[in-house]
Amino acid sequence: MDAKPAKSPLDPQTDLANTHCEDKPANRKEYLSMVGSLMYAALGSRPDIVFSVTALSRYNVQPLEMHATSAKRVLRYLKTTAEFRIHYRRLTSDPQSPHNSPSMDIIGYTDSDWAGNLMTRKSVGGCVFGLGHTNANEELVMSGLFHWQAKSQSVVALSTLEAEYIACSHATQESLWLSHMMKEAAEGMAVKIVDGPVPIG
Amino acid sequence: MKGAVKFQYVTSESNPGDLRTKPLAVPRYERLLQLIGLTPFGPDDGEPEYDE
Repeated sequence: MDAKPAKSPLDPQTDLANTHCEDKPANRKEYLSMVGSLMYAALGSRPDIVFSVTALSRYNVQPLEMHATSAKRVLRYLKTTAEFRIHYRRLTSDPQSPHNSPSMDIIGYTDSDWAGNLMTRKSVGGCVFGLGHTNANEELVMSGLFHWQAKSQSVVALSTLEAEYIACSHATQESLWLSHMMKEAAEGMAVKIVDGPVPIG
Repeated sequence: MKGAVKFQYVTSESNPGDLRTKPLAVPRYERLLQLIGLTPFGPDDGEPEYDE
């Protein structure tokens, strides 16, 4: 495939929700095939395209040409970044290494996009979890992801603060079962969740 | 279970959770990929190591 390279899966300027524009309908069978293939990659080894695939799958019923073009951009991005791998680093006792630490924790990051879905006004909450530790400068160092999610929230949040709390609550639930699972593998792991910005005012 | 989960604030620039919620501009996108350990596998990476 001789495709033009893409450095990110979705163009921030593209408005996928603009379904009232006079765009031609896309070939639905082809579109569903593309989204299905992308979803397989997103669930297995490509956490970077989870949001794009979630956003594109909202238009599975009546995809337009612009949605098909965006799906093709994700394919071009995957071709451009085919050499990308999730790197899992082991802890070392080398004081110069950023991975020098006596123990590892589960670290999770969460964020939400308030009213990201302009049709339903629902927010998207996302979280990622990996093994990591806090270094000597109190900075979080993550080794590599092992769990990730992007999900439309089931209720309509009325503010960014509310959307962030819902996402945080969901991430906490995820962290607890991950913690239980990891405790079976290694005793004494702590869990640390890091939340995104919550603008107040 | 009290104390099992610790919460901490990070700025949007350092939060890989942003990758899951909105399309980002390339520079910030690439920085967040570094943070989650999703990077190109180069010839310098060598063979994977396994514990005995």
